[in-house]
Amino acid sequence: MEIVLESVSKKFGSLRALEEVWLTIGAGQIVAVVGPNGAGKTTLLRCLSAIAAPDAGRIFYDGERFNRGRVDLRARLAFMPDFPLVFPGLTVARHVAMMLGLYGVEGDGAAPIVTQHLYEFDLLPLIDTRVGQLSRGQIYKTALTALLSVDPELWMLDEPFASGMDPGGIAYFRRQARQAAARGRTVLYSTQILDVAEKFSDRVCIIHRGKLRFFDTVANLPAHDGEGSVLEEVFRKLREEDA
Amino acid sequence: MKSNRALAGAIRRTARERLQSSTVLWKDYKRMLRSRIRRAEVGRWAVILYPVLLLGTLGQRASNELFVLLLTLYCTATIFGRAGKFASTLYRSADLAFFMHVPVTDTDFFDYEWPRFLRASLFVWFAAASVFVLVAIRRGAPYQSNLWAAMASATLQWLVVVTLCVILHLLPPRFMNLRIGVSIYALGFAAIFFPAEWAERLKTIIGPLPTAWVPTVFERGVLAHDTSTLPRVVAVVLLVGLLPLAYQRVRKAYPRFELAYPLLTARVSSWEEEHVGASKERLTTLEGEDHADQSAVARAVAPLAAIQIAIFALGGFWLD
Repeated sequence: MEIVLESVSKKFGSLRALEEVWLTIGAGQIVAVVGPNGAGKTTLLRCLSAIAAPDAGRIFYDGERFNRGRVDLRARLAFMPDFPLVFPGLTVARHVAMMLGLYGVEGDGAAPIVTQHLYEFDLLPLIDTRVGQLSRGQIYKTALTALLSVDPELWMLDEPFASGMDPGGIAYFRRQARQAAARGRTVLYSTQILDVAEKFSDRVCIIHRGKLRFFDTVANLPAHDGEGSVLEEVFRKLREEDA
Repeated sequence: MKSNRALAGAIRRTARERLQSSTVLWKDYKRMLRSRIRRAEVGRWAVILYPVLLLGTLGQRASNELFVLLLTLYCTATIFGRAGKFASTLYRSADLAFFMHVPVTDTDFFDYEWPRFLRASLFVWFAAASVFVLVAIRRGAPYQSNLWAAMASATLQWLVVVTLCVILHLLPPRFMNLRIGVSIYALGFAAIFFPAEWAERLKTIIGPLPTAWVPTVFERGVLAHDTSTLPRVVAVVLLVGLLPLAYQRVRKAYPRFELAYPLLTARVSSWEEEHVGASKERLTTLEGEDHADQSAVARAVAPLAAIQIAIFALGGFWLD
């Protein structure tokens, strides 16, 4: 799925969360959206999933204008917030089944796939446990099971590496994301962890104060002589510009 | 929107087969199953039982007039309370936050919440039926025929409350309705301790309210065969007859303004509050034809809403 943003802006009162963002993301890529707290990363993901409507600008998916009314396009993407929203009274099995149903995935054929994801996430013994009784990491893995089972064309995840998932869960997610990108899926995630962004992405999207400051491969970031990672250096320079 | 129980069942079956192939996993599963804590329903039952117990206690000494007054106040408060709660559910609830993340239409979400709203308001029927049966018994009226009349009256009273809740939704959502509701509930609670003459005066004051029409008809028309209550019967029927129309209007007009993710910061929330209704034009511009008919719907419902408010405010006076 090709994603195109044309001069997308979003304000909350006087706060400019996004300012004239122009961006084109091709299919089959893993893109890390990085930026300081309040930079506009989550707002960008919300606009891309129609949870927030841009004040100005347009979003296109495969050349088609996207908005909240386009349920057909929304069915081709999934967005997971950093605290996944769940119905705490539902069991893990029922929550995942409900999510699949909402995405139109029906039939018994989905059950083995879901079971495999639950097994890999160590959630299998919890299938009859209510989601409200799970830890944050387990809730995230439950929601992630639903996302992996739906396997939409565009995966969007807000801070998956700060979600409380255990190392096994994170490793499984990374493997699945890599395989998904190889199948032509686009994976877009936000993170504050620069090491992760450098090592686990095809491209990095740097947002600072609502503006897109960089969008390219890590290899194309300007080289530096100092200590620390390339991205750390970029962020240090951004802070210096502010000062 | 379906709960997809069949798929959930298939997942459970497949997962259990997988679990049974490993002793460790199966033991873990059994352990988790045993430790599963059933949600305490005590709180919910307490909410239902409290008014019943209160009613029972009051029944020892309170007059029929006080019961009818309390029912009227309770139903009036419920209109505002339920309308406010419904608006909150539709515009700033965790349910909305969840469904904003999945590919369902706004109408699907409304259709999911509507039956829940109806079920939640059913306690009005229960309260009204209890009061009407109690009043009939204390009047020494024949039991069986009045039991049916009490049930029918309770159903009408419930429909009046639901209709007025829906009519409130024809106006832009006012989350303060909830606060108005709570204030009237508080007045109802205080009324229990009012001297008889105060209660009588309050009953006269709130008598013209639509929520007092059915209780008056039951008390004076059904039990005392007073034919002067007939206009109220007509008014109730007319009011309740508006429910399907009002429901259709509200459903069509949802959302009345751009839906905002409800778990935002307080600052953003207050900004949204100040701009309720203001972003419709922006929404129409952005979303093109998908929501182009919303302004037209809003214009069409405005006169109807004004008429309903007028009925609500003044209707009872001209009935007398």
